[in-house]
Amino acid sequence: MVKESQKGISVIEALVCMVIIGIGFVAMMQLSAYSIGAMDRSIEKNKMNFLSEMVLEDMIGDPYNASSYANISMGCTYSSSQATSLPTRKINKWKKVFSEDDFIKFNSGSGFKDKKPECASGDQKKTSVVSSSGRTQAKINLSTGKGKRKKFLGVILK
Amino acid sequence: MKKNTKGFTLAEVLVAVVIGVISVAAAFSAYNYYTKSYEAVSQKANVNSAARDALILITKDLRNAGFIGTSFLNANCENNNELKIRRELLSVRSKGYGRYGQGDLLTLWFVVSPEDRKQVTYTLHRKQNLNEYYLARDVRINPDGQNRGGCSAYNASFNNPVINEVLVSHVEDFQVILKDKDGKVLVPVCTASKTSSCGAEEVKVGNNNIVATSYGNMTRGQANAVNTHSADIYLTVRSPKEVYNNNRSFRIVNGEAGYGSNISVSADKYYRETFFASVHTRNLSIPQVPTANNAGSVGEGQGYNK
Repeated sequence: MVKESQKGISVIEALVCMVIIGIGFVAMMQLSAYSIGAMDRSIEKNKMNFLSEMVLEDMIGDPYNASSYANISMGCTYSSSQATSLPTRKINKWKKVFSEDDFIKFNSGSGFKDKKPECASGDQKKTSVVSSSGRTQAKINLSTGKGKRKKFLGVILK
Repeated sequence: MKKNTKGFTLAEVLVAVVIGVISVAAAFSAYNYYTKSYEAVSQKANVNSAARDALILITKDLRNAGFIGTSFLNANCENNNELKIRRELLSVRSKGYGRYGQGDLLTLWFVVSPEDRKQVTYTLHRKQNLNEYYLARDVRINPDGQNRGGCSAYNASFNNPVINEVLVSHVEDFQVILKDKDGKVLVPVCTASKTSSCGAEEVKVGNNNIVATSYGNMTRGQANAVNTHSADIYLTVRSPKEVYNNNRSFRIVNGEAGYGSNISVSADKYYRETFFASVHTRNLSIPQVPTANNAGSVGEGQGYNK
């Protein structure tokens, strides 16, 4: 007969223990995955910040045509329009840069394709220009993460 | 006394071993996967960080390029008209630099006084004994050492570079596209009249090297320099370490059609990204503001750099 003090752990107990450790391990992995994802999202957000500065810089360079840059909406794809003036050329450039058209192309096996940035339905980049009391302000509104994350950047043009 | 001789059964040991092996394999596989993911994202973050830092510096220099010191007109050399110096403040030499021979050389000047200038250049330099290139920012004080516009020659003792700065490693392409106030590409933009620093396209413009402008005769590169309104910068960087599991071939297409690069990269496992910045070159164009030679009022529509 085995004394109570000499008993070991049963297989059931060991399995329960392993399940608990496994849950902890999976949680750690989830945390790791989330932190890696957060780094990646941070890079994308950083890129958006710089590109929004590009938009405002272009408006600063052409303050007397500010109204031409108002209400420009840029989605996930690039479609150029005929450019005949500074504003239309700049706007075409924004669309091209935001969709990273032509920068890097990779061979997908059936020809070269654009390496597109992360862009989901609901993601948007939109400009607005407000003039009042002789002062003109420009703003860009960036929505990323399917429109969940919003950022506004503005500047006084003149 | 009866000894306790009861241990685990064979079945229990086998079950424990199988579960243990599966757990260790899962842990190892997950660790391996996350380590690779972390490495890939870290490479991406490092490339982004280095390239953005470089672009911030280039942007700042381009915004300030063409700075002319307030004491400029006090001395009677390089002449009493700052327009003559304005054409000498920016230059882009195309397609000759970097791993694929399509990178640009950007040269900017800052004029503190007629006798003192700072020259900043951005271009791709090769790492010794490696087929790798880095973007360098070289700063020189009065590098010409020659008489210019009636000023005495710069002192040779100030001819040495003062800063050679490595900005980004593993750069694959660097393009600078300059545009005028209508957003049209300006080519060539070359400030010096020397062929060695201008590039072949500057020397020959049709059959005529000199174009007449309202500011006097200039080379076409000089005439374009004073009309520069904005600059688009493209910088393509690759990761120092391999990131992808399989080989991928790339094509790098930067700039405007006909004025940029088109590079085919043979298949490898590196991550590549192109970074872009647009700069309004505030100081470079001819300002419509009162100066000693051009006094008058400034109305709306005559804004600076229009």
